[in-house]
Order: sequence, then C-alpha cells, then structure tokens
Amino acid sequence: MNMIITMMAALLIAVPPLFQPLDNSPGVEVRLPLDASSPLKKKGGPVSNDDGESVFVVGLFNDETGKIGAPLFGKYLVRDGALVFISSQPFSLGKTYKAIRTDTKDKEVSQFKVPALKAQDAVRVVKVYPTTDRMPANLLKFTIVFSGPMRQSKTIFDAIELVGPDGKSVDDPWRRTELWNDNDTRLTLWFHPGRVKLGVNLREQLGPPLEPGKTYTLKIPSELLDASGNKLAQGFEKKIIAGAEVRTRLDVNQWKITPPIKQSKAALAINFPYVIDPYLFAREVIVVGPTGKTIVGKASMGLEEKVWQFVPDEAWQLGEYFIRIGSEVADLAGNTISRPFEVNLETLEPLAGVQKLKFLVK
Amino acid sequence: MNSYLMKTLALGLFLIACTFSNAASFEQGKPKIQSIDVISFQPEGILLIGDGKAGQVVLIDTKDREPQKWTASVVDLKGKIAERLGVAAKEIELIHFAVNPVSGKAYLAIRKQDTKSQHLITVDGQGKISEFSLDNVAFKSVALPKGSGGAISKITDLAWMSDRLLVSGVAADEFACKLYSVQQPLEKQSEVILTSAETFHVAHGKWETKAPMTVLMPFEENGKKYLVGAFSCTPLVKYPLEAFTENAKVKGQSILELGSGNKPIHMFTYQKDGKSYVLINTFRFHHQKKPFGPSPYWTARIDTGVISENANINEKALKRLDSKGEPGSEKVKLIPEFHGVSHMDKLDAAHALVISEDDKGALTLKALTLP
Repeated sequence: MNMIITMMAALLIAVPPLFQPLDNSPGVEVRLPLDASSPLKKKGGPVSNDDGESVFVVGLFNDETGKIGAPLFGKYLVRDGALVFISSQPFSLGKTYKAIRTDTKDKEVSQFKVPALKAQDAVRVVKVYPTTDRMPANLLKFTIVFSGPMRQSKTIFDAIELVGPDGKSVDDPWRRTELWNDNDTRLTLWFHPGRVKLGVNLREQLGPPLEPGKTYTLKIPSELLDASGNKLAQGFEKKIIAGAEVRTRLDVNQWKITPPIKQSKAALAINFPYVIDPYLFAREVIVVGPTGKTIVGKASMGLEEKVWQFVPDEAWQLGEYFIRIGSEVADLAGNTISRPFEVNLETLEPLAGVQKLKFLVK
Repeated sequence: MNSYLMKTLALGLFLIACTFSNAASFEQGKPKIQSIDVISFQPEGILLIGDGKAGQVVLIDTKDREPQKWTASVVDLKGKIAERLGVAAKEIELIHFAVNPVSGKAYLAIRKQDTKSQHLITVDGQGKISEFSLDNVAFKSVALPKGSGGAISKITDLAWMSDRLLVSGVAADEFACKLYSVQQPLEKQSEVILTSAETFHVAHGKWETKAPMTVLMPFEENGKKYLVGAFSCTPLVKYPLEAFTENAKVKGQSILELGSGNKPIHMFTYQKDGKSYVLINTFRFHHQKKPFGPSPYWTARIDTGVISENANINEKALKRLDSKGEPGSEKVKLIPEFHGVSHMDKLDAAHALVISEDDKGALTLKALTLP
C-alpha cells in the first residue's frame, strides 16, 4: 500500500516505508498518491468526504476487539497528485490508527501507533481552601487547587465525598455545576445552597450537610483524572470541625489594621476575626495612596486566611491611605460586607456597598 | 396555490429576510471560542454558542436550512461520536444539545477529554453523524460586560425572545444571578443590559436575588412577553420582559415548585389538541434515595395555565408534590415515555428530539411524540 501518513514528529513511531514524519505539521495527514487513471487526480483542492472515503478511510483501531472504528472526522483534498486526509484534530496519545483502502479488492491496511506520553509527575492536590480545620457549619464552598490541569467531568460530584462523624457519606452535598479556572487547575466546589439556606425544603428533608459541633472529612480520591487521563498521585483528606453557623453581614470595623511606617516597604496588614474568602478578597480589594492613585504591590493571604498582607513595590510615603473594599468581599458562609448571605428582601437593611478603611503612614 | 405551498413560500421568504438582515454583520473565519457551555438557536437557524470563559455569545450562520424527516434512532450515540473523534466513549462528554428549528438537525456540544477540545457534532434525520467545523464559518460575537463583582465563569442558558437575547451566567467565586439582555440586532457593539432578578423562592419563603437561573424559556400570553426561569432548588419563576432595563431589579412571580433534589435541564412550550404545555426535563440527584422513575432523568408536562397564573403565586404557588410527597395536581404530569431523557429540544409541532441515557451511561438519540 503506497500510503504515507505524516504527523508531528514527536508523536510518531514510523513504520517504514509508509509513515514519514513531517515537521511543523499542526495535525495529522494521511497521503495516498493517486493512480494516473483516478478521476480525482484531475481535481485540485478540496474533495468531498464521500469521494475521499471511496478511496481510503482512517479509523481508530480497537486493541481489545481488533476492529477498526468508523472514519475519523476530517477533510480530504488533492495535493501534488495525492489524495490527502487531514484529521480534524491531533491523534490521541497511546492509540493505534489504521488507514484502509476502500477502492481496491485487497483493502490494504496501514497502521501507526501514537506513543503514550512519557510518565510525568502525577498531579496532586496542592491545597484546599479554607485551609483551617474549623469552619462555620453553613460553609458554602471549598476551593481545591491541583498541581496540574485536571479533566472536567460531572463525575467529580459523585467522586468527591464528605464523610460524616458516623463514617457514612453525606448524601448529595454538592451543587452540580462544574466551575474550573481557565487552565483547569482550580475547582470551586459549592455545597448545594438548598442544603445551606434556612427553611429550604432540601435542607428540611435531608438536613444541612454540616452540623455544628460535629467533625467531618472531605475525601478527594486518587481516582480523579488529570487532563491526560491519569489518576492523582494520591488521594487527599481534609478534616472539618463544624462550628456555629454565621448569618450576619461582615463588619469591616472589626478588622484590625497594622499600618506600615513611612519610607519603608514594610507590609500593610489586616487581621480578621473570621476566615476570609481569599479569591474574592484578592479581586475586590485595592490600596489607594494620598494622591488617589492605586498602590502597586504584592498581596497575600496569610495563616488560615485570617491575615492579609500587602507589600508595596515602592516605599510608603507620609500621608493618609485607604483600603478600598468591594461589596463582594465575603467570609466562608457567603456573608459579604454589603449583606448577609440569606436575605429577606422585603425587610433587608440598606446595602453598605463599597467601603473604605483609612490608615495613616507616619 | 394550496396552503402547504403558501406556508412553504412564506417560510422561505421569512428565512431569506432573516438571513439578509443578519448577513451584513457576519464575518467569515474562525471564531475565538474558549468554552462551549450551552448552545441554542434563533428561529432562522442561527446557532448561538454561550462561551462563559470568554464572556461572550457567538452567533454562527450554519447555512443549514434543508428541512428533513426524522427516521433515525441512533443507539450508542456516545460511542459512535467518540469513534469518529478517534477515542473511546469514556473519553468524551456531552455538554449540551439543541435542534436547528429550520432543518431539524441535532447539534451536540462535545468535550474530548484527552485534548480538552470541544466539538460541535450534528446528527441528521437519517442518523448521519458529522462534525460541524468552526474553522471557516460566518460568525459574529457579542461581548457580555463584567458588571459589578466578578466575571461569569459559565453560561447556564440562552433564550432567544424574538426581540432580544437573554443570557444567564454563574461566577465561580460568588453566588450570583447574572442575567444579560441583548436587544436585536445582535452585533459586536450591541448594548448589553446586565440586570439582577428578584425571585421568591417558594421553598423557603424569602425574596432573594442571588440564586442563579439554570434554564431560561421565552413565554408569551395576551401579547405580553415573559421570561420563565428555572432554578436548582427548584421553582419556576415568571418575569415580565418589559422590566429588563439597565440596573433594574426585576421582580418575578414564582408559579410552580417542582420539588427538592432536582436540577432542571431543558424546557420548551408546545401545543397539542388545542392546549398549550411546557415540557421540562430534570436530573434528580436524589434518585437513589427517592426515585421518581427508573432513571434519575425525569420529565414533566406542565399546563401553561400554571405559567399564566397571577393569583396563586409565590407563597400560594402550586407545588408538584403535596405534603405527603404525592403528585399534587393534574396540571403537572410525569411523562413515563420520557424517563431517562437527559437532553431534549423541540423538533416540530408534534415531536421532541431527545437523548436518553441508560443505567450504564449509553446514549440514544431519537424522536419522541410530544405528550
């Protein structure tokens, strides 16, 4: 079979003389020089898939059944006297593909195998927020940070468990909406709000997922798959000691500010009486200088998300600064500086909105 | 000229008019899409893609306007699509589903796990599976403003309301209801209004703004247009469309409580034997504990009289199940023929196109008669 299959060199195991690497190819090409008598040879450019498949098809080879799958998605064209098939996406690592002539009696087959990726460090759970063990029983969510990209799948809601003090899994604790960051290394895992809010029938029937005074374990199994389809290096467990529920608006006046001194690059610090949601805080808070300009620097959330520090790029100057706090800054139970998580809008107190906390640099 | 020809001609003229009115602002090429969260259609066959990560809705002229008859029932749909993508069935996941109302062709948004790539797949009435390539299409995109708070992470649904597009989204870090209204014609520079909707949650008797809508549906009665939204915990709520203005807090009426432990997936209106209905399918995550049928996916038919209700609303809204957990009204009926339907859309006046899932996760695509 005079068929040439080309693809990215890094992925190719060549089976001479049929498969040759092609540098800088974005995907996969399978090429068959056409006979002089072929009606397609007179054509140039795109060829319909029906016409192309009447000459050869390319499919996934199933190692278990020994069968070749239906033709891959892609397009055909005639180039330099050859019929070329271009797969609509790169072939998958570790798979075997076969090209079969459909225009000859013998149905000749060519095959190639894409090597599996070299073993890499398995992805692991780096951190789970909140990092503290002690949290209010009306906790709204966990944020799970992985060391590498993960595979999105609705199966995570069945795989990740919350185990109660009786050793049994808490039934259906999660809100089944997958929320990943852009590179799939951070999963925001929400409790179903219907289990957290007071008076909702879901909570009435099943009870809250966490009860004050009880201890639970969040179990992230090693069976979760990373982007390459490999399991995690190991499972991850986190102890949770549920405390009293918190259902009040955050009062910024309870925050303790430690101002820096002038002509230094010392950290501005805020200590909170409760655990703060670090991602919302990072998004919603800026430091503004005496001239009204936003101060550039490096912010970090410290121990158990109860301490925030800000180190400026340039030294502090004498004068009055303020910390601008956006209305969505929240604690672990979704209570923000503008409203508690649960509200009755008919009796709701006015929203506080954005707030400013002044501090003096002396 | 007989009435069939008249209707066909009228539809043709309508589609041509719609096509020309839209064509001017479409550009040819490959749209930059970061995530396909949901797909839907405008009536003239323009595909709408909700891309939460990029904060946009992308419109694509599919040029797919050849009506077809559905004769196929595609078993092992997932396996067949996976094979064409060169992987095993477990390596792909179905994200969303819609039917082109002009052609009747099925469109599926698929995620291929190993390459993290997303693909639009079509299935025609004879069961032929094809890939709808986005490499060179007529498209335009509408950017969704961030507004106050954080940007949306995911679009939960899109609804074309005949004069505007409504888009609902959720954010990763905050519990928020973000609802966008884009007036037609939809263009890159279209004015996008971001509103918040106040919803009376029947279950816990409080007004609140923060719960995000999971499914949107246009509804019209007595010449007045409404949005009907479904929530995860699980009221159906009706909002007057005229109230969606800049910075408005739109107050809705809760009209039905479907019961806890369910997540609505799709809903649409239809007529049968002179009566109007809404069909809604949901995923029951309490299936193991208290099943409503043989599958966690169940479907209900709702008399539109329930949606029209203006007196028995909010605290007095109809509940599908009474205090004993039994069906509380004939107006909301469980449809056994639709058990197992994980995705569905209206195919024509008498049929829905559905994807049903068996207990092993295998999918079948087929047309079912509307109940």
